Amino acid sequence: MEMLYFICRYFMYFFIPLLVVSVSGMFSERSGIIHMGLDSVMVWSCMWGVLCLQWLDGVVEGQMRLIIALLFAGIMGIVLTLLLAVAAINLNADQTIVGMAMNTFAPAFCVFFARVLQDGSEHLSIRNDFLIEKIPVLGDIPVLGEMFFTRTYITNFIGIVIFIISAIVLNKTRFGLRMCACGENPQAAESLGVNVQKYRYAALIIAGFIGGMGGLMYILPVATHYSQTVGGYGYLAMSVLIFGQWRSLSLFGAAAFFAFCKTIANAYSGIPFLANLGLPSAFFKSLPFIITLVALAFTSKHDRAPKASGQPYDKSMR
Amino acid sequence: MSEKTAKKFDISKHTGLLSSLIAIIGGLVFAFLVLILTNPSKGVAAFTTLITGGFQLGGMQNLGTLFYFATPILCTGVAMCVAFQAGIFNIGGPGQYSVGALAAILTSLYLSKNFPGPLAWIVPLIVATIAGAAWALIPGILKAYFNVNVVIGTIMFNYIEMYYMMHWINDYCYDAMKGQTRAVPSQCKLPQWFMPAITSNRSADIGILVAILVAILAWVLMEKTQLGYELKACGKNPEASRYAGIRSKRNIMISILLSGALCGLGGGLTHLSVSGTYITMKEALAAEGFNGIAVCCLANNSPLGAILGALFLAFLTVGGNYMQIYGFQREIVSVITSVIIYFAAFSLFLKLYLEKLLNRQKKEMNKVTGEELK
Repeated sequence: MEMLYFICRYFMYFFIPLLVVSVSGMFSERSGIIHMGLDSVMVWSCMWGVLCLQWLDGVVEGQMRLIIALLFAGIMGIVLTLLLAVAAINLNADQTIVGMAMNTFAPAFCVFFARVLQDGSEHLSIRNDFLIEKIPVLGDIPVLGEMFFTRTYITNFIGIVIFIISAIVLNKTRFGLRMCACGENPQAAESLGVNVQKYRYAALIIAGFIGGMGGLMYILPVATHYSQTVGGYGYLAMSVLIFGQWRSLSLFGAAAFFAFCKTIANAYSGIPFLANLGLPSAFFKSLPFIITLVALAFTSKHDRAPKASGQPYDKSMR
Repeated sequence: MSEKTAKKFDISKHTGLLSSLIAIIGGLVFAFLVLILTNPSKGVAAFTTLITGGFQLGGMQNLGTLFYFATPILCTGVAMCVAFQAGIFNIGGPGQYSVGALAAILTSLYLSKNFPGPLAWIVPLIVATIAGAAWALIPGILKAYFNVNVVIGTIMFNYIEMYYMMHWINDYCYDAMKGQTRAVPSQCKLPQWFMPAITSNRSADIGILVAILVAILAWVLMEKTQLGYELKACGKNPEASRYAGIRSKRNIMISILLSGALCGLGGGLTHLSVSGTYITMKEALAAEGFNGIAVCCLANNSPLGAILGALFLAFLTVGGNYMQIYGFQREIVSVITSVIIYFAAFSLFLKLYLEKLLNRQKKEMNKVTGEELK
């Protein structure tokens, strides 16, 4: 039973950031803009989030410190995503290349910035006192309480809330449906009076905010210092997005599946059955990627990607 | 009428070069601002070092270093040009590059010792090329026959490579004392020919010449052969080319395999170089693979342009290394590169926009390009 709880906690550490960041990608791509720069948004806002945690040290205490830092990371995420927005929406840039530019920019700039800030050292330390030992009432539920409500982080719940809200916004509100129309057929949307540019800006701002928070959510449980990397989670989130076929519910399943593989990959040595197989650790570590590829091979025949995704919007085209 | 078309052609040529120049200037201006803001007193000196490529401080010897840095990114850059022109966004450069590097090291360690003469370095290079292509094979098959997004396929293979690399190095060529791959035997290293003489650098080798030759061959393939035409047609409009009888699946495979092969060759050339490089035991993707994308953007997807692009980025890298004298981190070079790619992304649009204007209105054409050329 202890094993189950252990795996479950580990699972949440991988699942939440993947889910949140792929939701961020979903907003962007459903509105018609390919977001290759998810990784850069994570790296960049993670740094600002960690810096914010340091600044708040001694000023604000407890979970409030984390929440303020999350909001700050989100805002910095918007700042970086606006680079993509301006290039993609106003300047008809090649969105994939802009994304790659962002991915080159963020880690390099963050190393540079951290070294300037700290005179040479690039590692930013994190004082992490956010672990919640047990949530009152909920933690007492048998099994489930142990699995999800003890030794947990507040970010886990924020992540789930973000997912639920964005699923509702995208699928049930006028705003969300119009945004999706911009990604499927912007010319038709425009002819019905939807301002495509405005909706795409809105989508990218939301994407930046969520992605930025995702960056900080990733680092908290898994690291004691920030070193300009998020373990390629942005790229993973992108494949989760494609695996989940750009739809909220499938996305949830895809993220869970991927996080599960990742958990097994990282915790296999603690699971006697798997550890006894005698396979190299490289096998387990690359397992999530191999399984995703196999799964994609079977599910990609009917691509449900937003149809206008990646194409600069040209009003004169019909 | 013939005069007009000649003029048109001329200006559209300018717009391509112009867009790259705008991108470069944008990147440099950004770098200048960052340097000045972080350290106002030394910023100017550091920037001068950067844009003179350190030649002021290091002298002509830097030419060898420059070629050394340019070789891998030229190979990966040409690889990206070939793939992008065919509409395949190959991000698997890092994986294909590293696999090629490892293949070259292993071949030279285990097999090549007994080969006579130049075969000792030619065989590892060929094996590296094949290994790079092999690493692109599965993403290619997945794209062509299973419609799996090629970006995802190649990214996944980057990570698979990253994890397995540790394992392979550990099993076959680990130098435990230094924590890196074992050194390549000297007879397997690239020959130097006249390179030390013209670069006044003792460890210069023919790597850059091979890379330039490859770039020229790739240009001939893309511009002068039927295969190149078909590849480009698939990139421009896959549906239309399929109706025209071009086998798109075959072309996807060819372009991604070629791209992987070139990346692998880049890895081989770098790790057989006379100056000597090693793969360290670190879970990281090879930067050379991603920098190929920068080179390709700078070159507007032209393999010939990639030669200039690679030399330029290598020039900045050399300058960036010297900049550390002034207490600046060399990561600034990556920052500049990224800003250049960013600008290149929409300067492509600028170019198309200019061309569109040219076609639409002759009068406006003269005005706009006149302004731009100032």
